[in-house]
Amino acid sequence: MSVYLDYNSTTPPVTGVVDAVLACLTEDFGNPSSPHAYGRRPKAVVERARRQVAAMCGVPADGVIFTSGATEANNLALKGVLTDARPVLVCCAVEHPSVLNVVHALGGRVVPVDALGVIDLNALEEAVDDSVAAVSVMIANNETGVIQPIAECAQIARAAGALFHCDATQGPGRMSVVIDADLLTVSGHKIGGPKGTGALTVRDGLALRSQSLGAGHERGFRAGTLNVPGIAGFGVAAEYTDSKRISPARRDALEARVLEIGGLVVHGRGAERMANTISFSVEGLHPAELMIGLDLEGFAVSAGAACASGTGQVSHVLQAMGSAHENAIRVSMGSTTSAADLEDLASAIEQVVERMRAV
Amino acid sequence: MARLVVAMSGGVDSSVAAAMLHDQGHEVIGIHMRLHDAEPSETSRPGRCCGEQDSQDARLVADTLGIPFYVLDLKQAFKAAVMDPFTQEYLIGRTPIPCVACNGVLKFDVLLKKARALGAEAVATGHYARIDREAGGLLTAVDPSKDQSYFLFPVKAEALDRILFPLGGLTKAQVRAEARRLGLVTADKPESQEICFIPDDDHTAFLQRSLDVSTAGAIVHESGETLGQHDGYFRYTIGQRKGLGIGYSEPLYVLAIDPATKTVTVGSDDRLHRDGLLVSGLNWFDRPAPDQIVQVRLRHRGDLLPCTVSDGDPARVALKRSGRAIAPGQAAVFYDGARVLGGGWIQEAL
Repeated sequence: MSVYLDYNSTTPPVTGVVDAVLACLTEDFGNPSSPHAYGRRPKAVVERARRQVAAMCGVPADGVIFTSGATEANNLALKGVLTDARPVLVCCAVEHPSVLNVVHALGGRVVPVDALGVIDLNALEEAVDDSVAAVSVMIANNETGVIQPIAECAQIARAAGALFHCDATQGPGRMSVVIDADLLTVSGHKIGGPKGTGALTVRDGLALRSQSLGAGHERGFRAGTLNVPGIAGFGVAAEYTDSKRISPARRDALEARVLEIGGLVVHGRGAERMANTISFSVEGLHPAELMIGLDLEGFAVSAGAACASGTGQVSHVLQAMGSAHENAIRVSMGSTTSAADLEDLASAIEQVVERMRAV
Repeated sequence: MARLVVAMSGGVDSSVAAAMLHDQGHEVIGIHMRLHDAEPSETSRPGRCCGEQDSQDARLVADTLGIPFYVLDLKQAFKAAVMDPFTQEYLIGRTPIPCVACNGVLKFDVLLKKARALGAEAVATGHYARIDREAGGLLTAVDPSKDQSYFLFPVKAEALDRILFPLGGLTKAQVRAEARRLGLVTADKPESQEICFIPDDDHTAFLQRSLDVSTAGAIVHESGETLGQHDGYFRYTIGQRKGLGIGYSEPLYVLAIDPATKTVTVGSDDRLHRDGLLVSGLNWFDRPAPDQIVQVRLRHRGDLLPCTVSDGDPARVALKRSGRAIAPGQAAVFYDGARVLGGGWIQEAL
């Protein structure tokens, strides 16, 4: 098998996750809404997981709403806070499409970033007025790893009486997601849990309108029978996020080596970045083809965000940064990525680039 | 054992080509070329060459075989090399054959370069044709009813060393049987006969949308008599009888299309028979001497006509047996028995 270096796309299950999921597909198959014996166990599983996710996010357990993933959580957070008095949403230009497209669809305001991909705080200040319901800024960018000044963004939002939402999908395991946000999005499968799980944390007393009508699951914020196996796994994964932090040393060593390749640019270099991510483009080479070349040599990296790869789409993140490159290769590491893996990757990048340039 | 790229369209032929090479122990990489955004079609159905369903079929075949599979976005190159010229050809009154340009440019130039960039030694496709490894050059398929050599004339001779046609020695029935034996999802998929980027096989509707100039004009008898009007000369091709919408004392056929005056000239069948033609854009694997009698094919599945070919480009082709309805824009491909000597584009009948 090849070396997996696409952790910003998804992560392998951490210890205990598979067992927790399996238990809910076998003996604990019951519906957590049922008060009888078969429902009690899965209900306990869900509430235990809720505490685990709450602890990761530094919020009370009853502030956690389980969703089908970060996309749904982002949609719920943004659509759910609009009011007649405050009908406007503000986000930054490098947000994930599940934020950006909501803001676009509802006619909101998009704040630019600088060449390193960091939000322009002056522009944010100008964009936020008393018509704004919420400001949404991600904790760190999935494509470049660039970290946003969350505390400053929250302050600007609050000063205008707006709520602050943070898409913290990429955060856990790489940085603390215990931040001062009214609404916070996290995802299960980015932290070693199963796909199809996510959560929105909601500050106590905040008026949030459910976006799905049905029975009153999740305190009325999100209708639908709970994905118990997924939530069980999500909870277990949330327990591990603190012990998995990785140091930037390996990323920096890889970066130093690839920078020796001529015509190679590392995106967001110079900004504060997640220690696990490096995004680069090579002059004259198509990232999708470079990605294929590396895959064939046994290295699974991404050519842009996984959601967009293969479509020939231009990265809205690089575009917002004013980059001359349409897309990039993204290497994103996990806690088990070894220094040897990265040395081998650097050699493979050199070899593949050389071969592609020779044609 | 070599690293090879197989162009997997999602049809049974390229599926089996990939399977055969994989079976021979090669490191096979499946690549599906995304060539255009499928236009909305009233009847989404199989048998087209690069729709979403086709790439998923190819993906499933690759998974069954256990080979890597990628979709490459080649829309820009396809538009420039195939789609735009297709429209342009109709605009200048010709009848293009886009699959030939797709082979010459997309598959055996663009894709071949990409394959080499990925460290592959060659590109394989599911075409029914053969390559003569000893003497060099292109040969017809063993199964004459499936032979696709006509569509391959623009492939550069030097590229043949880096091309494989694993199906050239097989019949279609054998290919389907092999696909069934391997349990490939494409085993019973219908044949694609249409032009892949034309929805519903309706090229006139496609051209109507693509052309932003009026191509309407008169239908004129060769005697000079105006017989009626047409609403677009791109609707006609040389030799066409049906769809003229004109009653006349004898059967009428399209003899000529003049884009300058937008006139479609019609007349009797005997005027469609010509003894020569001018061919340009020639690509030779083995150019015949000017006095050598070879055979030429003037349309897909057309008869092989004995002829001689002059020097130069354009070359004059003297037919020893007259050809009927020679349509500018189609390919003229020259053969010596099973050997493909080369080919070019028909400029005009002489």
